[in-house]
Amino acid sequence: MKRIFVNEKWCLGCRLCEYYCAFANSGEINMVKALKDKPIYPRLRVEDDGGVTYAVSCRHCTDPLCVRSCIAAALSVDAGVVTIDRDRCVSCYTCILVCPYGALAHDDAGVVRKCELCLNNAIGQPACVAGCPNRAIVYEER
Amino acid sequence: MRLLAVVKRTKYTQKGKGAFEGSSSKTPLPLTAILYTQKRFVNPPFAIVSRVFCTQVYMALYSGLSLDKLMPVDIILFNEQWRSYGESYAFPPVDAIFVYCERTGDVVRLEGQVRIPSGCAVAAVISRAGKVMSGEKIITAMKPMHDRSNGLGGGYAGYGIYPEYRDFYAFHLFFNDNTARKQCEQLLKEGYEVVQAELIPTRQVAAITDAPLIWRYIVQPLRSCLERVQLDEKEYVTRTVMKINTEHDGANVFSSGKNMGAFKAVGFPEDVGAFYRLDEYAGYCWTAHGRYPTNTPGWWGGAHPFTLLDYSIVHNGEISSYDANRRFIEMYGYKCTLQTDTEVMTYIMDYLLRIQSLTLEEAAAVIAAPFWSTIDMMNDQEREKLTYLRAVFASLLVTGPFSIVLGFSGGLMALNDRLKLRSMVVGEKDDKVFIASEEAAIRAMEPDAENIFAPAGGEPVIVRLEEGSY
Amino acid sequence: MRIEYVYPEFEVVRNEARCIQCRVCERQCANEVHSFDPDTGLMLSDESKCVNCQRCVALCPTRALKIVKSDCALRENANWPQGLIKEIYKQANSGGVLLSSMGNPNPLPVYWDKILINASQVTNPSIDPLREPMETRVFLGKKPAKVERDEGDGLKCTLAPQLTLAMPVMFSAMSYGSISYNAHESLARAADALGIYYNTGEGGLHEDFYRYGQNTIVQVASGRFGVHKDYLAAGAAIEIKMGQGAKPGIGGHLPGAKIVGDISRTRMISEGTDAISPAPHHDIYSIEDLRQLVYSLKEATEYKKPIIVKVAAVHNIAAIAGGIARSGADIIAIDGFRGGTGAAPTRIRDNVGIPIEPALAAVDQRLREEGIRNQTSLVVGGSIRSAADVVKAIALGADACYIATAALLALGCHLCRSCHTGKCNWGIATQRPDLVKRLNPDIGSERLIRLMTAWKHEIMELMGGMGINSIESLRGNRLMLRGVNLNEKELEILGISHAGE
Repeated sequence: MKRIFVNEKWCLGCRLCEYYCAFANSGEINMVKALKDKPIYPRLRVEDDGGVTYAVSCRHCTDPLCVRSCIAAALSVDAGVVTIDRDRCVSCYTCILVCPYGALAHDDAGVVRKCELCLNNAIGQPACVAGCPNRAIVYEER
Repeated sequence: MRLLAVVKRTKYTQKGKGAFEGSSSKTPLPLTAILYTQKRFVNPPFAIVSRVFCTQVYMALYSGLSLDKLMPVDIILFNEQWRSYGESYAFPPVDAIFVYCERTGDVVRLEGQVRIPSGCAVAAVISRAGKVMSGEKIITAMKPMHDRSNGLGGGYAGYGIYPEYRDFYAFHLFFNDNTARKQCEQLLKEGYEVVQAELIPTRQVAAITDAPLIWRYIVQPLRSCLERVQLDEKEYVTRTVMKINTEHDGANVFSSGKNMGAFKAVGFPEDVGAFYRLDEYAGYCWTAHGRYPTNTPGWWGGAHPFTLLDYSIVHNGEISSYDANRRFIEMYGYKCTLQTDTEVMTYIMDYLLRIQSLTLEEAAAVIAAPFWSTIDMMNDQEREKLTYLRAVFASLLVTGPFSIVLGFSGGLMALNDRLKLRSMVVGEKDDKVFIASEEAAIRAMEPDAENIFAPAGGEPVIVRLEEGSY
Repeated sequence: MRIEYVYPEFEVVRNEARCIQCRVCERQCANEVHSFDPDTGLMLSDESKCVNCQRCVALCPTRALKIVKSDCALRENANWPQGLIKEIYKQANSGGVLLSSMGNPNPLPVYWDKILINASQVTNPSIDPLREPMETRVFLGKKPAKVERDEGDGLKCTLAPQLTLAMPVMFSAMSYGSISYNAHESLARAADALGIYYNTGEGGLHEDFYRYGQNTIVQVASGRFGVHKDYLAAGAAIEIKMGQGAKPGIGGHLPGAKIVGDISRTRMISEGTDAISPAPHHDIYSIEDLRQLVYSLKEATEYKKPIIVKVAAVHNIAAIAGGIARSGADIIAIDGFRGGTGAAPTRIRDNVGIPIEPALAAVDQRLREEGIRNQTSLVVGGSIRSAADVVKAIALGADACYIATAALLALGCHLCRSCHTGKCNWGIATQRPDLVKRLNPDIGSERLIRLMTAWKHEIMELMGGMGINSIESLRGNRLMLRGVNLNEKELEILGISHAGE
C-alpha cells in the first residue's frame, strides 16, 4: 500500500504542506477563501526542534492503536487507510493520547481530524506531497 | 552599399586574337551568377570574368538587390586587358559579379561560384572480363532517363579508352580562350613531358552551344621535377590539377587519370555523347550522368563526372553535409573550385583511398557510415573498426540523399546514402554489370539483364575486373 | 543609520487580499526581506535586502507576491545610466571593487540571435527524427592524421583517449564551494544518466562523487585545489583551466567563511583560509610551459585521459588556440565573455574578453588553415542558451558545447546574480546547510535530464530539417547558417553569408 513518507533531510520547514493540507480538506476551491484570516487545522504538522524539521502525519499503521482504542468506533481501517467518521467522534481524545507519533489532533469544533491521504476529499491524492517544493514528503509503496 | 560589377555575357567568337564580339548575341542564354563578397573571391577578383566570356562590365552601387544605378564602365576585351585596366586605373575592388541576361534583362548570379543542388540520372556499365565496349552503349542507357536531366549538363567517364597511353596521364581541359590555353600549356611544359596535345575531337551537334576550347594532353611528370619537390607522382599530378583549377583563369582540368577520360558538357547526355564522338572510343567501363540543376543553368565545369586522377564520380543527390565535408577536405590541399557538391565527394574519395589508403569498403563506411544503433550491435572487431572510422573521419560522413558511381582504374563502386533517399538499381548479364538510376536504363543497355536489385542504403556495390583481364 | 543614497532596486508587492500569512516567504528568504508583525497580523517587507531571486514568489501558495523593479528613478541621463550611478554610490560607500555574479548582463551583441538556420525544401528531403535515426553521438579527443595498418593489413583501431558524448552538450566547470554539494550531485547524476560529462571546477572532487568519475571532468586550475593523484585518476578527462570567460586574466577568490567542513577537505586547505587562485598558473608563463603541464598530467594518468585546456575568449584567441592545439592538448575549451561566474569583479566581467561566436569562428577557421582541426576537439561555452545556440555553435565549427547557466536555471536559479553573497535561496550557490538542503538532487538531476532530453529532441528536429541525420555532418557546416543584421566584417569573421545570399 502506498503511504506518505517524510525525509527530514529534504524538509525545509517551510510549512507549505500544512497549508496545502488545510486547504485540501477545507472543501473550498480557492485557497485564499479557505484560509485567509482563519486559524488552520491541517492534518499534518511540521515539527521543528530548531535544527531538524519534519512533517508528522498518520502512518496508517497495520494494527493502529488509535482504531483499537476508539470508544465510539469512529476510527476504522478501510483498505489500509485509517479513516475517521467525524460524525461518530465523541471527542474523547483517547486516540490522540495513544498515537505514538502524535499524528492526530482536533479541530476548532473539538472533533478529531487526521490524515486520510486526501482519499476522502476532492483532491484524491495527498495535497502535502504535491505541494512540497523539495520532495521531502513522498507518497509511495515501500 | 557595395560595389558591384555586372558582366554582360555574349556569344564568344574567335575573331582575331583573343577578341570578343560585342553584345551581339543572337541566342542569349538564361544565365545565373552568384553574389560574391570580395574576401572570398580568388585574387584578382575578376578571374571569373573570363570564364563566362563576358564582354561588358558595369559598375553599380549595390544595396539590396536593386540594380537601377548601373553604369557602363568599359568594354573588356579579354582577361589581360581587364587586369591591366585594373592596375593602371586602380579599378576599385569588386564585391560582386552578376551576369546580365540580355533576353530577359535580368541580372542574375553567376553559376560556378555557388553550390548547385541538383537532381540527376546516373548510369554505368563495366565488363568484369575487361572486354571493351563502345561509348555508344552508355549513351543508349541515358536515353530512357531523358526526363531526369534538363539539358543543363551531361557527361561520361570511360576507362581503358587510351590503351596506347596507359602509363601516361590524360589531362582533359576546358579553356575559355587561347590565352588561357597558352598559360596553362606553359605550366604543363615546366613539369611534364607532353607526349601529345590536341583538341578533343567533337562533332557538330545543334543542341551543344557555347563550347569552350576543349583540349587533351597526354603527359608524364618529369622525373627531375618529382625529385625536386619530393612528391610521389600522383600527389604531384593532384597539385597540378588544383593549381590550374584555382589559379588559372579560364582553364579547368576536368580529367586527369591514366587510361581514362571524362567528357562533359552543357546539354542532354545523349547530345553530349554524340558531341564528343564517344562511339569512337572503347572502354571496359563507362559511367554517365544527366544533370538536373534545380535553379540554375548548368555550365561546362559543373557537369559530371567530377574527377581527380583515376577517380571519377557521377552523383545524383544533394549533400546536406557539404560545407562540413568541404571545410574538412580543404585542410588537405584540395580546393573546391567548382562549387558543385559532387566535387567534394571526388576529393573525399581521393583522400580516403589514396592518401589514407582505406579500402573501398572502409571508405564507403566513412561516407555512408552505418548508424550507431547498427554499429553497437556488431561483433567486437567490426564495432571497433567502424567506431574508429566514424570517430576519425567524422567530418567526411556524407548526409543528404545521394546515389553515386565511383569509377577507378580496374573497377567501380556504386553507393547510396545510408537512408537510401535516391534510386539506384544494379543488374548483370554475363561478364557485364549495369548500374543506373532506373531499371529502364539497364534494359536499354541489355534487355536480358539479370539479377536486378536495389542495393540498400550505405551498402557498397563493388565491381572489379577479373585478375589479369585487362 | 547611514544614508544609502539610493532607493532599493526592487519593490515587494504583496496583495493583502490574497496573503494568508502562512509566512512561507519569511521562512524562505535568506535575505530576511519578509517578516510577520504579530500586532497587525500582517506581513512586512524590507525591500532594501531583496535581490529578486523570486524564491518567495515561487513558493507563495496564493500567489500574493510579486517583485517588481522599482519605478523610483533618478533623473534620466543617457550618459549616466542608473546602474552606473548606483555603482558609484556603492563604491563611495564601500571603497571596494564591485563584485558581480553570473554572466555579463549588458546589452552587447548576442550573435546567436543574428544567425539563422537552414532547412531543406524540395531538392533534399528533410528527415523526421521520430521516424528515422538521428545521431548526436560525439567523440572528443585527438584523432590521428594518418590511419595505420597492422601486418595483416587490418586497420589499427587504437585511438587516443576520447570522451564519448551521447549529445554535444556538457555541464561546464563549477567548483564545489562556488556551488553546493547538492548542485554538484545533481549535475553528476544527470551527466551519468545522460551519457555526457560534468566538470568539477577548480575545487576538487568530493569523495562521494568519485562514483560518477566516468562522467566527470576534473579540473586543474591555478590554485591546484584538491588536485592529487587519485583525483586525476578519478575523472574521465582532465581540464587545465587557464581562464574563464567571465573573468579573463584574473584568478578566483573563495572567502574563508566558505571554506568549512567538506569544502576545506575537498580543496585540501585549512578551514577558514581564503581559497585564492592566482591569476596565472605560476608554472605556466608561456606556451611551452603549458605543454609541460599537459604532459605532466598525461604522465600522471598513464596517457589514459584526454587533456582539455580551457581558455577565455580574448582578442587573439585564434593564435592562442593554435598554440594550445600544438601543446599536446586533446581538447580546447573556449569560454566566451557572456559566460557566468560565482563571483567576479564587475568591471572585469562586463568589459574584458570577446563573445564566443566570433571567437569560435576564428579558432575553427585558424585550426583548419593550419590543417590541425581534426587533431583537436573544440568545446565552446559562455552563454549557450538553447538547443538552437548549440546547433549554431556546431555549425560554426564546435564539436560540443559547455553549458552552466542553463543548467543552473534548470536547478532553480533565477539569475538574481547574487551568488557572491553566499545566500542563494535556491540552494545552489551557497554553503549554508539550511539553504543547501533546498536543492534536492533527486529533483535537480531529473530537471537537468529533462532539460537536456528536450534540447536533444530540438537538436534532432533542427538537424532533420536540414536533411542532416548525424551531428558530425553539421559540424563546421557554415552553409547551414545565414546572418541577419550583421555587417560585412562580422559576416566575414563568422564565415557565413547574409540571409538572401
